[in-house]
Amino acid sequence: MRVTEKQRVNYESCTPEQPMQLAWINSLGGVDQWVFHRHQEYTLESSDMDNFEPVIRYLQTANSRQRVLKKEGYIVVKLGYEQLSQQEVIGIKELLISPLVKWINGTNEVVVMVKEGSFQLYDTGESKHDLEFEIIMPKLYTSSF
Amino acid sequence: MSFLITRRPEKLFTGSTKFSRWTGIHNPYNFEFTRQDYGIYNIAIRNAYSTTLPTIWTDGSASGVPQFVSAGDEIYVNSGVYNGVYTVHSVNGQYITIDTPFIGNGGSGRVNLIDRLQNFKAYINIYDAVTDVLIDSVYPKPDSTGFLIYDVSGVLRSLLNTQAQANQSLINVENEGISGSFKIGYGATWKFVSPSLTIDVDSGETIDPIVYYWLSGAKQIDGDTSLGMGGIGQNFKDYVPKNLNGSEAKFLTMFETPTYFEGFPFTLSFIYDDDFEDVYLERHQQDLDVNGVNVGAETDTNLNVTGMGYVNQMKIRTPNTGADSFDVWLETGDVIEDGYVDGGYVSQGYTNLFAAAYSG
Repeated sequence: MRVTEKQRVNYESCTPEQPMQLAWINSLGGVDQWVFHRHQEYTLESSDMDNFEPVIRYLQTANSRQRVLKKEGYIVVKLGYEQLSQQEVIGIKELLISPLVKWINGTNEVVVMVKEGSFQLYDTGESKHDLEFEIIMPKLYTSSF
Repeated sequence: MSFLITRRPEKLFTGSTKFSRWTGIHNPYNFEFTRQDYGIYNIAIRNAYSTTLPTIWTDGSASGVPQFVSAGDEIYVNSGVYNGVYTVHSVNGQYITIDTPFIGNGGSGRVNLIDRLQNFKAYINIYDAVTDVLIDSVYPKPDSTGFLIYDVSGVLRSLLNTQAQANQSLINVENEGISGSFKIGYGATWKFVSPSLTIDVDSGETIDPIVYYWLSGAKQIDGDTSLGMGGIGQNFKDYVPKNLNGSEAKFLTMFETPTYFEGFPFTLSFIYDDDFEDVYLERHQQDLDVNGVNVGAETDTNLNVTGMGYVNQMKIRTPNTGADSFDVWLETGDVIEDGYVDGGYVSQGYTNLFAAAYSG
């Protein structure tokens, strides 16, 4: 006896160029996934977390007024997909509000974050959409003083 | 004296006695309790006690109960047209006459004592339904009418564990970090106050045997009131498969039609309800070509029963060559003959002890 609805699933045999699969917990408590293509290889974004001003005893030999105490670094990856239907956009948009987004890399899983404000949706006509967004990979370990 | 659950976060399946007890914990997960010091059979004019004032027939015993009420006390009454705080005119056994004009008969309801029963506090204990370990205790207070609506979602959210899981090798795997089950126990404490004595009273804890389920989900407000309020809270009834004819549970995906990319892992999530304790669930899959015509035969595979009581992620069979899409659904399969032994049923090392004793 059948106890669930019949769920239709599309089978995509053409893998996108430079594929990157993300899986995320959706707002129904289930896990959804999609294979995006990478628009842009890794970009490093860094920022100063804090500076300090060292005591200068001999101005003649001093070579700085400020020193970096700690740096922060992130790797950012731009992902996208083209010619998406409305229902596919609705499903993928859940990424933005998911508490857990994972990059599935073979047998490894890495937790990533969707960069706030990076989600771009373009209407290409005939109810098809292109989208782009950026994900932030785990924070890099940096050297600090 | 009683403190009872009067509404539960559950929804009944039409034409059956089965309930959906799955609720998303990012919505309120509400239980409604009611304090009832005495039940009311009815309110009417009873000439033996008063010819003009209404008299309440309570469910207290005829031998002197309600024993802590006396003339001049204030009591809360909820019975038909009588709803509010009234002053007691006289008490005769289980009959209480109140000092208010008669405005009609009242039906069944409740009386709560205000002067004599003070500092009424409820306690609710939330237990893990699998291990029986106490998750948390809370001490809410009913409102002035005796109602208490308590939302357990805050307590349950402490159980969320959204860590990445290892890649899935089994056909279905329970996701314990985002789903689970619990039971509740409840009771109340109060002080009986009379001119001659004051007593601290504890009603004792009642453990409700019903198991409730949570998942890390949220139902959105969609304005659809056609189903009415069959329960309180945001129940996931539409997503709960039941061992019932006509069960059409949905999978937990936000895609109308998800996509399986060749060469990449793919799972569908579903609720594995405890209604399938005695029967296997099977994954059925039928591949289709671009015209929707069957490609190859329909296949079925038993699921692992260890996932019961959780949200499960189910792997999909790699589609046949020539497939453009496929349909997936769950069916009931064979009866589970031996059942399975629950954790703790046979203590660890028991068989070794037996073997040692036998050989010695």
